[in-house]
Amino acid sequence: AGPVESKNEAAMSELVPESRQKPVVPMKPTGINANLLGYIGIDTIIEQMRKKTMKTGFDFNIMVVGQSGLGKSTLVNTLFKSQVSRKSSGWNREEKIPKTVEIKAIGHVIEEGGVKMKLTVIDTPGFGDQINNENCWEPIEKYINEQYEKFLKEEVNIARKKRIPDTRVHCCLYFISPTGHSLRPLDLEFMKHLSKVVNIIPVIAKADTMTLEEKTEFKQRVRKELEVNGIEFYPQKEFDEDLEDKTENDKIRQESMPFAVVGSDKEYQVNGKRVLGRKTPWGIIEVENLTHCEFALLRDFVIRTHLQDLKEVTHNIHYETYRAKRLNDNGGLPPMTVETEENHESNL
Amino acid sequence: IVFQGEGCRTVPLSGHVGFDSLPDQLVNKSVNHGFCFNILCVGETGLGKSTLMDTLFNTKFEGDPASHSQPGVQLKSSTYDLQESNVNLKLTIVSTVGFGDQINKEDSYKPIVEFIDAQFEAYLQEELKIKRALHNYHDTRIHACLYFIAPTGHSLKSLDLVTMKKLDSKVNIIPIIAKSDAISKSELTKFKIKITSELVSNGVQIYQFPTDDESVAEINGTMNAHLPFAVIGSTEELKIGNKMMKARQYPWGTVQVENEAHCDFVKLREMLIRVNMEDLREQTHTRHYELYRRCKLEEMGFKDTDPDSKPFSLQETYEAKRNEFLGELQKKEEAMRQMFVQRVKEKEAELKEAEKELHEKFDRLKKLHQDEKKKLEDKKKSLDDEVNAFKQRKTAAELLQSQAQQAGGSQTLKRDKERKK
Repeated sequence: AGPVESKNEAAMSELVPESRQKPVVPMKPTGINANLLGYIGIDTIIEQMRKKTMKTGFDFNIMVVGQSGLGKSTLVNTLFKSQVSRKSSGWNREEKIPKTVEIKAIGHVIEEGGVKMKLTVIDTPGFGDQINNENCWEPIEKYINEQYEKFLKEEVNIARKKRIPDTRVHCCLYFISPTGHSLRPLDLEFMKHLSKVVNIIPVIAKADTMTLEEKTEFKQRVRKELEVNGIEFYPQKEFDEDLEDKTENDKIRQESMPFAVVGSDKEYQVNGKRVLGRKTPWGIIEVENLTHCEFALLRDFVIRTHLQDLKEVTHNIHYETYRAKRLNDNGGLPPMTVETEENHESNL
Repeated sequence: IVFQGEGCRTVPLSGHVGFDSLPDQLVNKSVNHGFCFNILCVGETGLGKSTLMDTLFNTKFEGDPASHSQPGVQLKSSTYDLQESNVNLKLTIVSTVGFGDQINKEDSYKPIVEFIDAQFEAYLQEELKIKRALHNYHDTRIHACLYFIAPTGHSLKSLDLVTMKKLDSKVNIIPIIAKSDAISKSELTKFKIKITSELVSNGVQIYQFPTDDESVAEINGTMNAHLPFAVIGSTEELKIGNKMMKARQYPWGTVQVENEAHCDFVKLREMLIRVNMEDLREQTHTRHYELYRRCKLEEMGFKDTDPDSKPFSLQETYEAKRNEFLGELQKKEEAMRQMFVQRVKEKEAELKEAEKELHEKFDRLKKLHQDEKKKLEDKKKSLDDEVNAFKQRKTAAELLQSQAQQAGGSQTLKRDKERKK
């Protein structure tokens, strides 16, 4: 209770200077009898809030970006333990390689422990696959901004929906090819442009092609390159809320990331247990084994500890930045003054 | 863009993913952020509003009882930081002062309505800002309005009806019968029925405890039937049996505040805090605030357009906002420029000072040097003079000596001659 108290006191004193001295409220007795003298019941708000959120359900939108064949769909399916992303089996003769990057957003509802989540996976086939990949991030940036625009339009309505549908991209997994050398120019360009509008989590794909030493060196080099190029990936240093966050996130930023992952949806028998893995002549790579790859770290990070934070950073920071810029730009909101009602041109 | 949004299928999970921790993640963030809750107490002077708040929150909030001679209705607001387990609550209690004391009460409701609207307005202004900080905004909107009904035992006063009618579309009203130890049980039942029917016949919408969630539907449903709650407040603790309890002692017996057979205090606390606090906050935001916002924006002349054209409703507001924002930016720029110019001036002045000092020092040193030099020259001159004088004396002395010798010789001769004489 100590640190929470002092942090909040500091926060409170910033906001409301005229706050009085704390009246002494006796702590809740550890007995279950809630009617003992002294207990008010303020802490029941936690339960009330939890119930409310369980009822409304959650949305989560995750985008995967990377060249074909890096195992994006497999990884997402492994993360969410279900077929939420349709694997493309490469470009066969009937399917042409798309001339530009396509954006495919597919939504599914998944449920676990009474919690309902509408998960939307946004795939970006064609990224980095052409001979000339100049500006191939533009359709992606455009898509992300379009979702912000959609939300903004809803928010600005006079009669608003009770719950504005959230299609904004909360998390963008960027797949780095496990070359072992360094980041490619395309990787740097993409991340430079997009790290300012969306939370980017870089992952090293198909990490089963690197030995432990190669992995560590590669990760160090990648981190250095990102730093040198001023690319702030999630969790961004400037959004750490307090010391606790900072220590936790520092460790992740400086040691664990980028996560070197392996994905698989096939199960094998290892030591009497069924595990997800990849079978090779020289052994079975267990996806969820931390000594084999960092998939479990990525999963825990994205889903079990930072999911809500990803959404909040998107809403409180990226969206607000977009909104402020949009409202500040000449022209304000889309159209139009009464005179130019004839030209219904989209400003998007 | 291919999008399969509405009507997505549910897919089964083949193992434990872990997003069932989402509610915990969300709750943890909220706990870290802290909660706020704002209660408005409306009621005539002397109905025990402050005492009830003290009893509900188990503390002694500051404040002296108000007098009856207020010229108009005012609102007094105080904010407190309460903590229980790991929950930090910023509680704001607003009370009417002087309500019902005036002879002419026609306008009594106005300050209350204005206050509630002012909180909505402040929120709206923040929401409309270009660079806004909603995440850290201290929400002052009233989440619950406890309306204190005087325990006459007969019916609602016309002031009550008028006021509640004006407030019911702006805030969650929970009517309570104050100082209900003044009414007997049978009278109380009749009183409650009368009040409820009057509220209904006058179309006053009081807050209904929500019954859509199965876990609370039953208790909320029962409680809805007990409205208005008949409460008693007391911060005095008396020993009853072998426990200390909040109570009021009369010659004919002791009224226990937390005894459900004596009054509905426990029900009020249960409903207001332990079951529906979050719902009260949500209703305030999604219903009352939205209504205020809609009315305000329509009043300003905006409307949503038909589905063909895009919404242009708030363009003008945003133009104004943008100008305001740019204006502020310019002011800041100006201020910074001024400061810069100021600093440069100060630095220049400092440098000038330093330069002046250096010059002075140089001059002093030069003078010192000249003085020294002159002194030395003087000394040298005097020394030369002395040397010359000495030389002169020496030559004079030598001359004298040689003269003296001659003279001495002649002198001795002379003396000898004298003696011989």
